[in-house]
Amino acid sequence: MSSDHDHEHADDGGIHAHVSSAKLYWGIFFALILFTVLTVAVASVHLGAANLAVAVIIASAKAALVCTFFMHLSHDNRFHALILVTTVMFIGVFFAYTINDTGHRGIDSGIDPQSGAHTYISSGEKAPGSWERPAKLEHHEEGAKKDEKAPEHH
Amino acid sequence: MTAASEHEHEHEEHGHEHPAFLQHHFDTPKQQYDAAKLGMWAFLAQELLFFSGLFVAYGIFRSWYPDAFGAGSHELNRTMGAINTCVLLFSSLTAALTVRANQLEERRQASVLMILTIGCAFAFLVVKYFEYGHKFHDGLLPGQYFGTPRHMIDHEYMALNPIAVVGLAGIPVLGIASLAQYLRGGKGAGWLLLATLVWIGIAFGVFHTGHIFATPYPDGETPDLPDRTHVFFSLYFVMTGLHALHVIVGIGIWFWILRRNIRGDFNKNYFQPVDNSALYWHLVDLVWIYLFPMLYLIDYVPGGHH
Repeated sequence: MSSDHDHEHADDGGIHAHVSSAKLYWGIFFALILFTVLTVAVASVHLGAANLAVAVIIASAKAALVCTFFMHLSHDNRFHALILVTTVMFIGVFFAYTINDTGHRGIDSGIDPQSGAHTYISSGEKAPGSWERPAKLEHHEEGAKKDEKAPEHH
Repeated sequence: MTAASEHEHEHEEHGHEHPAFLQHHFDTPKQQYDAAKLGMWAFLAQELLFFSGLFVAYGIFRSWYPDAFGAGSHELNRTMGAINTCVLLFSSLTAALTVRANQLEERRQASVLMILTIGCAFAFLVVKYFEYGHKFHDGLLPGQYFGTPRHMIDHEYMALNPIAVVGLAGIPVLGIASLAQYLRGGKGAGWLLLATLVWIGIAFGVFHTGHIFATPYPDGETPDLPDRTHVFFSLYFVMTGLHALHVIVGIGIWFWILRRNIRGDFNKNYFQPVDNSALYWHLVDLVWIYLFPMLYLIDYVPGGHH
């Protein structure tokens, strides 16, 4: 019988997951609302390029709160947190390599103010596949509604 | 008693029942819970990765066309976006609380919280409906449809739209499935019938609002916005549309979990369906937490670079 007793003590197979207090959840909720208000407030301040950075930082703070407390990462098996962190790291690699490439394209090109298309500065030639501003539509008569054909879009 | 020590590790000898909720390939409820949770986190990782594709596209086009993005963002209604953010944050709270209620085996409280979560999800979709309605009416449409005067998009075009055709096909599919289940005597015929009716309702609603497309523009002019604003709206509709699709799926999931909860399926050793549904819901909230500032709150200085 002592072996039975030991067995029950050691592991009855039940889940025994950590139960967070409702007060904690409400607290995190109000913190999230606060951060949202902050995000909207900061957005009305003209910081130029920093606006995006600040917005992403505040959003990441909110995300961290949701992940740690609402999604129980703080009390879970550490491996789940590892899955999340490595996912975010790979997303970071995706961003870095892609933006590094696309951000350095078109050294010799600009946007032509006339057509709105990407053009090569040295030759004035339109870059292949570049979008061009569509021709302005004429005003239509009420009666001719159904007959008018749509202009070319690309 | 010596025999007992030999069989120490055989659960059958100790009279551990295999409860109904414990799948046969798991030894203990804890093992089942851990396995289910790990699988869910693997799925969440995948969801994050596929949303990241859209975010990278956003990053590229925002850096290339800052004016278009600023002007496009200015056209969006920040108040509605902020309301939606708060609604989703509150639904995240109720989702977390419902898991807690299930852990404590407080079934009624859990049901109430699930209903609140579903209610918030519907509220989110209603606000989205009005937002999209304004966009359609103003000609702020994705890609090639941007700025197109209304007289060119009429009922005939809508009817031939391949997406509409595919969508309509769902009605006979669901109707026949419902009938087949009923005749077979299988379960779920009632649910399939309900789904058919809901689908008909949605199709009616979509085609009804399609007449917004047919309302002519007051002066036939395209909106006076920077050149590539259609790119912004392409991203806006795809990102928020995909997100809204996730919300709709989440509503379905919560209804199913609510039904199971009312039926009394869950207890303190079996609540991972609720836990996993809440994890999914938190992810939906997470995506919106990023979508809101990136789409709605782009700093806009008319006529200037930023």
